[in-house]
Amino acid sequence: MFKRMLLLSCFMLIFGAFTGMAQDEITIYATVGAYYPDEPTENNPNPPKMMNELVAEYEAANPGVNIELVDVPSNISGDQWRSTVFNGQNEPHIIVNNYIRVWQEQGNDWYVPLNEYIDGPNPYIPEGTPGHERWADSIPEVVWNTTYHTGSGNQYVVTVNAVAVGFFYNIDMLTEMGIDTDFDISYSLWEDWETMIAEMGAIAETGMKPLALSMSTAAPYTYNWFDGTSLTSMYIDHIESWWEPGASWHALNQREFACAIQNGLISAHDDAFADWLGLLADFEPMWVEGYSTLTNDETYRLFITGEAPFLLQNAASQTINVTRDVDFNWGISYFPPVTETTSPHAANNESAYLVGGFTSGFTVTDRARREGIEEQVVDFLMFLTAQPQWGRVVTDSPRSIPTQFGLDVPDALKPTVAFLELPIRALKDPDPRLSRRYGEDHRRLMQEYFTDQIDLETLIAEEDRLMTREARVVIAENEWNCDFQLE
Amino acid sequence: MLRRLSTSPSVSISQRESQSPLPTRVWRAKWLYLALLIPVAMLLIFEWLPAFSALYNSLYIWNGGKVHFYVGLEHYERMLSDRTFRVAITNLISFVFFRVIMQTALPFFAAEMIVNLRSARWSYWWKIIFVFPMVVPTILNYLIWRFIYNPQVGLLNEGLELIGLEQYTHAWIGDPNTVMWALAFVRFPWLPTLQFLIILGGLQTIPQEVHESAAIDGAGFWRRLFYIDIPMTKRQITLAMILTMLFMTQRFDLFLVMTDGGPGYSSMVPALQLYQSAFHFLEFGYASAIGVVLFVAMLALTVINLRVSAIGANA
Repeated sequence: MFKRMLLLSCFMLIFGAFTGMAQDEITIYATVGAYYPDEPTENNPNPPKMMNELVAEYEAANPGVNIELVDVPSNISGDQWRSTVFNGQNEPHIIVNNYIRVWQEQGNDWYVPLNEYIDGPNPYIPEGTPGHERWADSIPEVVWNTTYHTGSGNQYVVTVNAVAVGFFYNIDMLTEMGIDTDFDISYSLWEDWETMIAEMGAIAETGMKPLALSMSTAAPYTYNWFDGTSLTSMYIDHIESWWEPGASWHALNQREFACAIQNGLISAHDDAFADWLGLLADFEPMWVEGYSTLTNDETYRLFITGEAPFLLQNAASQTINVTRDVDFNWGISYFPPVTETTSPHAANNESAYLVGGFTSGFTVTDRARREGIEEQVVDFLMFLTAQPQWGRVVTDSPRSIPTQFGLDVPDALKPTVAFLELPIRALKDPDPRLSRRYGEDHRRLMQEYFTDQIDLETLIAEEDRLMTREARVVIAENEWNCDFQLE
Repeated sequence: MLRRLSTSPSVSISQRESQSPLPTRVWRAKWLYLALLIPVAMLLIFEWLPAFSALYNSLYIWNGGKVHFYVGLEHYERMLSDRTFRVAITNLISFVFFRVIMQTALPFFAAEMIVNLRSARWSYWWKIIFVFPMVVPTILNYLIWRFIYNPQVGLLNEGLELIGLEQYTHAWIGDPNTVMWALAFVRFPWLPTLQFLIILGGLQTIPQEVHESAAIDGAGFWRRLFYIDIPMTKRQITLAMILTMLFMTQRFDLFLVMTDGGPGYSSMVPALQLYQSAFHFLEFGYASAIGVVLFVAMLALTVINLRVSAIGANA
């Protein structure tokens, strides 16, 4: 009996392997970010569903091709998920990814350069519509310039949506407290950073911490957003000297920032850096208690239950949820500009800087190449990102602003269009700014400073050590030359 | 006669077996060896190989992808000057010390209580009560405790407010001064099932006559405890302590779920630093070095513990 079972198991294994080899059907695995067609739940009664329809249409038009949509687990970070699936060589063929991550990971050859494809026609875009003859023309040049990887000369990401962050605010609550809820400037409740601190400070004096945000490292955090945008404001007079030759205003890549550190163009011992730390320290008393461990969901709950009048969140995807979950009047504002009122180093800022923008897009992974189905995978991507299809996706569930020519901004997201017109922040989140290690350690150092575990002197010394070490590591790993900043 | 008839053939068969050459004996039991081969191979591939490859990888910079080059002992040198690692070790020592005492002493008293119960029925139900938490997934437990400590709506703060002690409400795991205590109190009253069963098993093997003699000699509960129960369950207590020490040193899920080592590094432990180095920063080499150091430290502590216990038992 035992022998028979053993033989049967071996037979099934061998037979199964041959059956798998004999298949000539293609299965394309793809992640689609926020548009994954989840099952409805109590907390998410109307999940996006258009992807299912598009997949069915594509499969019907391409017999033998199966599309499997993959949901990225929410309980681990995207970084961990990618390192797991790529090292296990079972990554999906198409992955929605942040372009900075693609830059950071390009040394692994995980992604397929798309230059050749985006220069060619996209048959799924109707004739006469931008992009029909040259796929790249369906998306504005500014988007391609943002995601273009200057180091390699490659374009790895097709970005078809844009997002901004913002302060959701409870109009009823603020009105009751006697606080003005009219915009001081076109995109913000406050004309400058100091006004924001003063207004939030007035609320804090009543015993209520006004701003719900997360600085938790265990969850997606919102702290990073103003970390990058306010640092940009403090170094506005210097950033241009950090650019690679021929560049115009853009979000700095790792090489530019790392070289700026190595070449002594930015240091934690700078006066501007000290002013920036002071700005953050002034802001910290406004944050809800326990911000260092709260998750995004927990901060969201504080806002919708009226325990905090402000919530810093993704202005695109959370708009749907706020619309659904609250029964008070609310609005959405953006960061105010940091001006010379805060620091002489910020005197030349003409506006605030955009957090978000064209951050994430579709990438084609090396698996498509390994399995010899690159053409088919790119074909599906062309189908999905063509205006007729993508327009349906965004209309079905307005979670981001489409970037393609010819597509309208969903009504729900129109208040955030003004944010997207701001110049992009030059310095991104700490993590993509330099390295993952820097991002994590910098956040922890700031937490230690905010909770009085270390003093300013120690913070500056630790920041300097961290920045110097991480700059050296990323420059060495990528064998970058930093002479361009010294010419 | 009957006994001789029944035993002698089996003895002669086993003797014949042991006299056969090894290849013949292996061939006869080939199916059993084949069946054994699969789990052994799995064990080697999934348990032993990764563990030993850590030693090799600790000498390299490896990002989990193509970046892979030899750096010798650089990771170990880095560890010596790594502030995070120093904080993590300090946190770990205090956490393990607290938990080893609590997770040995309290299961011991719970087991004592059960063996001293006169009613077998009550004894049975108490055992069920103590063993029941085993079926609750650990992660669920942590999430419940996370909710208990929530600064705005947590049970602890709500409870304090309810009894008029609102001045003591606190962001328990958001404050570096309270976070390690808050984490140490997770799963209060610390009655881990395994340690409880080990010690209970030890107490139940003490012959009833010993307790009866002690009672005749006038020994009360405390005398019996210190002169009979503790000395006679020393092996079980040692085992419970070693297991607690090993479990707590390896533990990173608690810290990951509750605080991720924060605020700052105030609840960082080496196992969590290892996990983050590998899977967050893709520094598999450095993570391996931390793993090797942890392994050596645990091995050393276990040996010391066993030696000390052996000396105590022989004294």
